[in-house]
Amino acid sequence: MDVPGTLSTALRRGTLEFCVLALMEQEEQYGVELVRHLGAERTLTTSEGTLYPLLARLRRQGWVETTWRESPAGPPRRYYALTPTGHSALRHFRAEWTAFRDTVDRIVGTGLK
Amino acid sequence: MNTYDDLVNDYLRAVEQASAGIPASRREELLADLSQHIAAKRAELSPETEVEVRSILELLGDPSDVAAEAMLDNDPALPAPPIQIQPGKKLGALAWVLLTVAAVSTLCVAAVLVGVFFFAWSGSSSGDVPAAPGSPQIQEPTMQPPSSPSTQSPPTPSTT
Repeated sequence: MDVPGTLSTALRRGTLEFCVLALMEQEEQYGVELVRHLGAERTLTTSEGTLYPLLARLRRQGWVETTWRESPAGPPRRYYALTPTGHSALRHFRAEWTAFRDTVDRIVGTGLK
Repeated sequence: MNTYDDLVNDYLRAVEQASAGIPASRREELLADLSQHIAAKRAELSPETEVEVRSILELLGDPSDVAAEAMLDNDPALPAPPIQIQPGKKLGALAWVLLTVAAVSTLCVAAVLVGVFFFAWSGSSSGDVPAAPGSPQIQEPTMQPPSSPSTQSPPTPSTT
């Protein structure tokens, strides 16, 4: 019962932040929408709230930058976009991930035929 | 309306208490992010109901889970930092390589110049005939290798 939770937490660690980066790769994303989108991916996140510390970490690392924009209704919206460093971090992850996944698939026997 | 504000404040207070272990600036940042999220979602509900406000908070998740995620930043053994350091490190390493190359080449040029000057100076002062100082100099090193080639060659790289 505890093991599956621990496993998914361990698998998420180090990969989720790159999923977040990938979502804002093409265009800037409204923070609340981004969190709503990812929060619905139950294999990736436990809850929407846990994404905010992650986003804060990405801001501190300089991988994402945010812009406040006026909203037609309601409070100003915070938009997230990738910085050049964020783009290169995502590129680096893609290369690492592909090699990592292929090796795990080969050894564990989970690769597609 | 006021009751719903209390629900929100209770939630934020619970996160605040659970995240007591993280630096104040980061805790405030987290609480600001969460309250902005809640405010944005509440603004989407024209006549908000208690169920809807509770649903916003439920989707945010257990305050202790949110705090636990923020606590991870305290752990220096994060998966992200090594990758984060790399771009900077590459630039730093490149700078060091260039600096070393520049320093070494400067030293080499200086050594060659000193050698050339010394040779020119000693050549001009010791002998007037150009062929005379040149021939003994060539003869001396060629004399040494035939006498003991195997023993003579290893010490030469080690002394340089």
